[in-house]
Amino acid sequence: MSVAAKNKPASSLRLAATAGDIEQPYVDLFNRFIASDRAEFGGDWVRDLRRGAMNAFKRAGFPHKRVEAWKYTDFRPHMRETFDLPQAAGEPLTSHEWLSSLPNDICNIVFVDGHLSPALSDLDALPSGVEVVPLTQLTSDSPAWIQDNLARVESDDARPLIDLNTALMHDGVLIRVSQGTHVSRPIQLIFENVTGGYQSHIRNLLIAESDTQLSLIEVYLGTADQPYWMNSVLQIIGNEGADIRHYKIQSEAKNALHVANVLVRLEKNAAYDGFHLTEGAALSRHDGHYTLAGEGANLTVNGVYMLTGRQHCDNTTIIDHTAPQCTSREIFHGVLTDRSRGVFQGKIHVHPHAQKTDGYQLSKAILLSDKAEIDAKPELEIYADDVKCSHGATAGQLDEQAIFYLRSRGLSVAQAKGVLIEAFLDDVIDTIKDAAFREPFKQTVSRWLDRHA
Amino acid sequence: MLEIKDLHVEVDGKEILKGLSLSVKPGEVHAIMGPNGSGKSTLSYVLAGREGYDITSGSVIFEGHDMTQLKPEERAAKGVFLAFQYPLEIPGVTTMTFLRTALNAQQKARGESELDAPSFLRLIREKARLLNISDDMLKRSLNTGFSGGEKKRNEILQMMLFEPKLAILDETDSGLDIDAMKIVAEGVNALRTPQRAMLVITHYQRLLDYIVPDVVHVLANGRIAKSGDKNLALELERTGYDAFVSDAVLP
Amino acid sequence: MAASQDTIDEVRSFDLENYKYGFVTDIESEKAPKGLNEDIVRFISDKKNEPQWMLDWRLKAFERWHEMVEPKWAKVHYPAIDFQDAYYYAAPKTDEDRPDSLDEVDPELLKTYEKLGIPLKEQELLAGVKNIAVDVVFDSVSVITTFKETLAESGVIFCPMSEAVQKYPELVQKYLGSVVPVTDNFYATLNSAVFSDGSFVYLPEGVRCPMELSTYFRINEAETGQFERTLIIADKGSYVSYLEGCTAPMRDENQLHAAVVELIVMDDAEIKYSTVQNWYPGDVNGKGGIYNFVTKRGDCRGRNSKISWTQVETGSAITWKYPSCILRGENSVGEFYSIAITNNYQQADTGTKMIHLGKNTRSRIVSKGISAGHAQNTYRGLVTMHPKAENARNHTQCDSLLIGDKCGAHTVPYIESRNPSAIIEHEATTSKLSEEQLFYCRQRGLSQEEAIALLVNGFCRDVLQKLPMEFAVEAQKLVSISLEGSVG
Repeated sequence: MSVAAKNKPASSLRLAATAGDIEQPYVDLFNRFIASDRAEFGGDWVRDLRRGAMNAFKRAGFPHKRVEAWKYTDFRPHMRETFDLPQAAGEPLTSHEWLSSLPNDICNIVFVDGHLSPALSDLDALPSGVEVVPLTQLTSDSPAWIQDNLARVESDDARPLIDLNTALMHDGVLIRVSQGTHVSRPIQLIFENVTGGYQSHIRNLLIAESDTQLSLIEVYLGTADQPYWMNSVLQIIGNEGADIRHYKIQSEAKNALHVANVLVRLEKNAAYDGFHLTEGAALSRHDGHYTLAGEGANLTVNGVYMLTGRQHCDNTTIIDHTAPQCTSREIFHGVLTDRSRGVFQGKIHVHPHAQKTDGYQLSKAILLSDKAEIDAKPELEIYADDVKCSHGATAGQLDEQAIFYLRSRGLSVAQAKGVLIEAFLDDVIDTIKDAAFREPFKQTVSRWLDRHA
Repeated sequence: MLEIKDLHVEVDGKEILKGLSLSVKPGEVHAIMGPNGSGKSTLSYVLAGREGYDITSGSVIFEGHDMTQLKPEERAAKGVFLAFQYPLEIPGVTTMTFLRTALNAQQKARGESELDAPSFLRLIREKARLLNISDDMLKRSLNTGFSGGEKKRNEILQMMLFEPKLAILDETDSGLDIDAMKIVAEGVNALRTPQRAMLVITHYQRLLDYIVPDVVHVLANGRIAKSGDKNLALELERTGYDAFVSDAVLP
Repeated sequence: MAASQDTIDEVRSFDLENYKYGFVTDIESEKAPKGLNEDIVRFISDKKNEPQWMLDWRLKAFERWHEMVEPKWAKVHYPAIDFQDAYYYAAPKTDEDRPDSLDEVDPELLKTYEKLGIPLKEQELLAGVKNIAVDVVFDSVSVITTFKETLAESGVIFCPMSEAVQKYPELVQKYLGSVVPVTDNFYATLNSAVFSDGSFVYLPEGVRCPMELSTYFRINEAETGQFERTLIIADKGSYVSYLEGCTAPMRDENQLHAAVVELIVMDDAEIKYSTVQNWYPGDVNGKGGIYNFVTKRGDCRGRNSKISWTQVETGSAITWKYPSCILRGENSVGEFYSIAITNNYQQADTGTKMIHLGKNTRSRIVSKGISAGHAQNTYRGLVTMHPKAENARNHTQCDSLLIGDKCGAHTVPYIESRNPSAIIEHEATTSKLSEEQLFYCRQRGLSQEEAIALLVNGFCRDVLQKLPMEFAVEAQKLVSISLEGSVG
């Protein structure tokens, strides 16, 4: 019994076929872009993809707070200033704390100001079984694994930011790991934003064929003073039995806008271990859509966020259990100081035949100041009965008893709080499957605490 | 009282009981022993009428009537009681409430009068005392948070309350230490009467030191491989089940 | 501008038409024609003999209603409602409409009354059989008369809203619309324009209401609650327990029910508001049920004030309600205990809002949702801690039980905190009735239906314990009945 209501509300939430006032400059930018050399690569099929996406973007417009999924993050007003696409790349970073804390022997792929830098990357020394195709080298003959998957975006709702990325994508990498390969070194994608003053639409794709194993690291380092918008899309497809580890650190510049659209699809018995840390950007949104499409697939999406000033961090995920016997785990811990704002929206959607689903979700936030704010909406949408699903959410402050205990052992208030916050965040970091990366994340937390708490 | 003839039972399309025959008279205590996977639990579930246990051929006659068409609650009202190997937890329902509801349902099915709350309370307290079960435990949610021993004692309490004609004890001793097992055995022995028959299903011989059986059967590969008196149990203790697993021959 | 004479004449002529077919003339029982316009609003006010200020209030609401938009965000789907295709005023049932005896009443309805254990005489009252003097229904002593006397002695005011508008205008004017503003939402605005009747309760300072107040006593006095409006004011140090609804299934030709309930508690006062709702849910295919869109809100204005909402919702085709608490006063407490059962094709989107404004405020939410058949059951809750809610605490437990694999159970909690010393804890679980549990119960002699009823009542125990005694017993029976046929 599902009859759509015929009465449309007077104030329509969607824009008509012509774009609104904020969207129009982006449409103009697109029209210039698609006519330029920069959009040549790939030929017709890419052009068609771009045009279709731009039409979809025009229909939906930028998301705003009356769209349920953006209730706590009013994105549209931030789009008033339309940046150009990245022009020349600036000087790359000579060093960064994250990079120096890493284990040795990593295969790096480096982007500076939205441009792939072959000189700084290890494209000629890829681990065996790994194929990397830069986005700018797409051709009309690009293989099926690229053409079929690049266009595949599974979503019931409109995804205007993904559409805009598809329309304006200018760089990125498409990675494929061939069947049975256990990739010997982690692959690290580094995005350095040193100049700013642009909108960057990076498009990445990872296909893990069956029975593969790999670690993919994403690193976003921003030092630009000028504001910029980083809008990335990463599609990950794990075929049967694949084991994917995906970790990310978001350390964008303090005036930046960072949107990460992550789409993961797992087939039978595939596994995904995901973790990301957020400390940068004025406004960041992680928009993850994870589909458990094959029986026995296993998914973990964990994260920590540490916010100060007026930072706004939104972690929104949808986990779609469409196949039976799949497991999902999601744990997010956040620390907020000053006037910062954290948002957690996690939805577990169990489809009618996804019996024996096991889903668990936990959001915990600690507010360290009077003006900080946390909004959480852990959602369960369940259509199968033989399932085990639960979620929890807490918001509060550090445990007074615990602080007192530490002080009684000689620590100052500040030190005691620091210890507790560190433990609170490290708890989630410890769940990272690829142990080599726990230390770098912990050191990041440590450094943040030294500076802010 | 119970006559099982050449019973074949399938679970999820796989045949577990492959021609089991058994005959139990009132007043008798039969022990059923066997290795894991031999079909011991299947036998108890099939006698209790659990869905998913399909009889493909053979018969089960209880007190002269075919029992196979009866629903579980109908068999209960007729006097069949199964003490579960893993008694279920039922949160939010106190032991007291559960037992009174069940007893009254059985009384009603038999056309007997139901007990009011005070009479029932008296009845259950009397029986609980014999098993060292406190009033407090009766007020807790059924089996919720109970230790293994407490759950098994609870099953015996239920048996005392329902006064069944045929009691099937499914691995009642599993998970119990010696002391707990003694209490349970005492309770069971107190219920031995010339009118009542019992099937004691067990993997280990030690329970049978306390609940001495009249007949011992070895269940292997889905049928009774050998029957004997209580000494058979002692023999099994020495030799183990290997001989039976290889000996039991399929037609 | 009073209802035009033309309109009144027109309405009269409709009834006169019917008179041709042999009905007894009765000028007093008039029915407004279908549709909703300013004349109808005036007509309603006129029929109730309302003072000018009440009519003005209604008219203003009606004007605002035009600017409002039907909310569409809930997880319920229904065919568009044509607001012009309904009656907004129906006179109390005349004897002609009433059945002569229980023999003329729908046997299905009677079966339900029996299962709920309702005595025969009460059944007659509920079914509206004519010539039943209310005092004959109960044992020799006239319970209602005694009831009214006791209340009068204690100073408690409990009367229909229409009476309160006449007798206590200052109180009504002061508090009506102060908790649910006229423009709060589409249905509240509609209700404000055309509300039919409801309860008005005022507890003077320090008065503990000597008995539980129940709408049951009002059934015979007013027409069915299509647009009920209830206002309960508990002055300092007072206490009342109010019961709304009854377990008996209520039918009504009017499909749309949009009630508004406002509660106000002052310092050290407490209101316990319990609801058992079993409006007609539609047939097994989901046709014809009632849409129940309710706005209920309590304002804990005083220090140490307390409001408890307890509800058992088993009826209606569509339920949309979020009894809420505004926790203003220091140390005030808000509680919400709910059992919502949906079967066949019912849809429920229900929950609560706990708005913590003041220091040391506390809220507790226990929600049990049971979904069976093809039904959809959603818990939607909001817990928000404002910057000044020092040391506020919330604990929420939402559990969903799914029976069968064709239904859905959803949980959508909004958790917002702007105060670091406030603590919010939220937990939700989803489960089903295990086949093993059912088998265990059956092996002990319970039938499949009895086993389900036992397990579900066990699941709901935390909430059932919060209901006033008589309601709790009836509610348990109601829970069992609502799930009939849910396990094939």
